[in-house]
Amino acid sequence: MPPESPVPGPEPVWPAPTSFARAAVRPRMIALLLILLAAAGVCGRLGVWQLDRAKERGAQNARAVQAARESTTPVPLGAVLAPQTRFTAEMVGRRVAVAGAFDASGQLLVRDRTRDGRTGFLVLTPLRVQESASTGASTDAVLPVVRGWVPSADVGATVLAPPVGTVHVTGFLQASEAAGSIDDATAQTDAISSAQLVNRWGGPIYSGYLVVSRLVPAQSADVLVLQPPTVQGAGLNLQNLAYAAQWWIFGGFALFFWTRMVRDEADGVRGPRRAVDATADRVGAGAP
Amino acid sequence: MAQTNPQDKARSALGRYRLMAWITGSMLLLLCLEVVLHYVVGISKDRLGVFQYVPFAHGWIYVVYLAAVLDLWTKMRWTYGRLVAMVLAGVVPVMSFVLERRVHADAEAVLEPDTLAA
Repeated sequence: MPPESPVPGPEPVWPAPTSFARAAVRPRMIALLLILLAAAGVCGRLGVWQLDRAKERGAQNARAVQAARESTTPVPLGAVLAPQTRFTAEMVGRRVAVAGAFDASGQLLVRDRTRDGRTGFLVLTPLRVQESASTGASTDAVLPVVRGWVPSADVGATVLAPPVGTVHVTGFLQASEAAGSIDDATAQTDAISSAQLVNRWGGPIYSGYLVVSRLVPAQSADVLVLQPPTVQGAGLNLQNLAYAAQWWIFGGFALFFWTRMVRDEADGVRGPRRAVDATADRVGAGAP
Repeated sequence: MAQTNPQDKARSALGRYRLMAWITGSMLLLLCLEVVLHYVVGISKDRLGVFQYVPFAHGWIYVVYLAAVLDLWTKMRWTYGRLVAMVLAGVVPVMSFVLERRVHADAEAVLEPDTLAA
């Protein structure tokens, strides 16, 4: 924006035009700057506060979604996810129930996994899913099931052995991970990846995995069940985010306003605007 | 009208301010209604329909209003007291309508002779 030329007419009282820098260091411009900087600082701080509120309310919302999910009764796995179909984000944390038989020979330990701050192993067992609990008909589809957590790989075969025969599993769905490396000698892996496990277990396979919260018949109590997966992307509350942006814009206005005032000061145009034919009696009337 | 001289610029700034003062004032009344319906009557946000977006809209409209105020105020070279009043008018119900009348009249009084001369 080019600086405005002063209104035509005599200018007997107001200082002659000067440079921006000279005008900027005049005491009243410095005073104005200090006031506006303070205002901008307050606006900035209020913006940060709203940003915190946005995070807090985003997390609150995520917790509410989580709580709602956890309180729902489990639905049959087939109603949520079919074998070899894409696993979508809204399936994460869904409570499902499924019946099938564990294949103990395919069991793996997933290393370097924490539970309550302790690093240990997840027990990952393939479950041959049965179409329905009543008929017991097998679909041959494999569902990777995380039965729980153990502190070390040497807890003993009896602890690690899955229940035999038809089992009824209730748990939470979780998205498959990127492929890792499987160590055949120790039957350990560093990833729960359906794409990789299908090569080992055969297909068809489910594209997500199940985290056990309840197993009938029960497994060893030394295999500790995991907490339900948390809702991903807690996100920010959009309304508070907008308020934060608005406060920062107000702060920007304060600073922009100062440069505008200095420019007018430099042009020597501060003072009340007046009509050409009414200059004399109005000069200086409303000076700040 | 070519906006080359300060008078014309001030006049168009006055027009933008008038528009924003009316929109902001109306939005503020809607906001008051929304606040009463939600917090006093106790209607949930979901059941308020379009009304639930009023606070959000008012926030952004006020940003534009402030821009219009700063623009007009610097062009008209009014006092700081008037600036404060104009800024407050966007958040005090009905104030923007009242102040807009005065501001407009004051601006017209100063601007008119020049426009006629041009």
